[in-house]
Amino acid sequence: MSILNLGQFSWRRLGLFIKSDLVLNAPKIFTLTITVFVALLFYSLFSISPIGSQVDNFHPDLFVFALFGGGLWFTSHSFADLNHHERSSFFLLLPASNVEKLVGRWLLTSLGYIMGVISVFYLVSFLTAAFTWLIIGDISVIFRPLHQDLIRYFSIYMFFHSVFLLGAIYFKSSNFSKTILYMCALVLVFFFVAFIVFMSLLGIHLIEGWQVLSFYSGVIGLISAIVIVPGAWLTTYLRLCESGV
Amino acid sequence: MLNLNKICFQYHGKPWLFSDLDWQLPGGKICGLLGKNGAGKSTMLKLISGLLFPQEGTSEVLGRDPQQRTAASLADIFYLTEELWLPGITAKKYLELFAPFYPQFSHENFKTNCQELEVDLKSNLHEISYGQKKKFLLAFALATNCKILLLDEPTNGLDIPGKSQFRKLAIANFTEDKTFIIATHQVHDLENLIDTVVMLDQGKIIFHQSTEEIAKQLSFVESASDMSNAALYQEKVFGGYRIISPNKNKAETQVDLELLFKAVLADADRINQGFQGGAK
Repeated sequence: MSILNLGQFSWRRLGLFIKSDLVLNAPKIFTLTITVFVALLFYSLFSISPIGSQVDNFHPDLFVFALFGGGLWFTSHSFADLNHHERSSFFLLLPASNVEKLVGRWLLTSLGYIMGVISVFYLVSFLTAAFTWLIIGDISVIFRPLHQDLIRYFSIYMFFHSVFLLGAIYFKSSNFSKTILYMCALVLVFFFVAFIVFMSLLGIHLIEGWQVLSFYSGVIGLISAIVIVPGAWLTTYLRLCESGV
Repeated sequence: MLNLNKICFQYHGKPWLFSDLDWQLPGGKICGLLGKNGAGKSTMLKLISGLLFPQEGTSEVLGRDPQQRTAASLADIFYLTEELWLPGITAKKYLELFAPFYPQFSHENFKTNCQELEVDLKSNLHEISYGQKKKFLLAFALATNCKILLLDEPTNGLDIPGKSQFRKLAIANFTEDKTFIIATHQVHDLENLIDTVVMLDQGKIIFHQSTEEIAKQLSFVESASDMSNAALYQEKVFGGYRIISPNKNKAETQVDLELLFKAVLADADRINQGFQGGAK
């Protein structure tokens, strides 16, 4: 409570902060959305089979790319103003608490972005289905955002989102690539340490160790998520509190 | 209102800028923070606003720690930086987005300030000149009704009418519950505006007096002859000398800030001797 200073939280200020962020970034958001929408629509329309319509016009590969590629890139730039000489003062002195600023950026890049991607894919799917019906006469299944696979993607996205949000505030430049590099390095260190532990302490060989790790991958993933996600959020917050110009 | 205690600050890899710096300033003042380039004026304002954190010492602004940067403290402090950044939106949109963050914001004052400073409200803020940006932010800053207004070189980039309009507006928007701290090296621009003079040199406060006390204790005159024996400081100008001397006959003269600034930089101890307690 004292670290997060939750007494300083106001929904009104959070709303104002999100509104200002959306308006200031509106040209970028609009351009990006239109580009993705048009590209996706063309891809979808050209994918309509002349012999028979697709049962499902959803393209999971493109969805994954848009969600993870776009979302994490977007997230890694969420504190770009902090690293800008003149803009940093403006951001830091805007009368909203650090919690409100963090929650605002978190909402925009996580739930906000997910909603945006869902909307674009839904609209494209709807239009594709309409065209399919007009051209071939078949009705294809419209994109279902609550599909089990998609919910799994969203969970994984939220995990990586927390790491990229930390990277956004931690690094001064090239946040996206540096976060990936550091993440890969940490994973390598984790496996290296795990194998050392397996081999030296438990006397298990490399391949056996790998099998053990694979067997417990679900548990390892869950523990990682429980530890890493809140840890990354807290570190991001503390980093924001100590940010200066 | 403002209380800095034993502040030590240095930029990474640089020597100490402030070492055990103490500064107390009561509310209801328009304070001129004067100093040469690199004296630490902007750094001081950043420490007060919470943009920088001291390595040692404590600071208190309006009874709060500025390092916490709480929403309440940020809504009471407006810092107009020398390097300006404005988003690519119209002034009207800016007002709509950011005025609600300041609970005491007066739209009426903003309108008056903009009219007085001849601010173009229709153009995109990215596209207007530096001077126009500064005028817009001055109009906005004064309309926020923040208790503390920190202005870093506010007259830089303003034309001659703009400078006098700024002085006029600053006085019009000032009330006893507010404090303005104006950092500048253009001391002429603050004449007839400030009531407290603070001078910084090499990270130390070398002079801190009210203009009223300065006028009581020092005499600012021009003389055709060299008066170096009687003067605390003198400067040769065309046709004679500008002189600062002890005000022995208690006839108050107009404070010449620029001359005082030069005198303090030349020999602060000598000038401070005339005041009870020296540099506060």
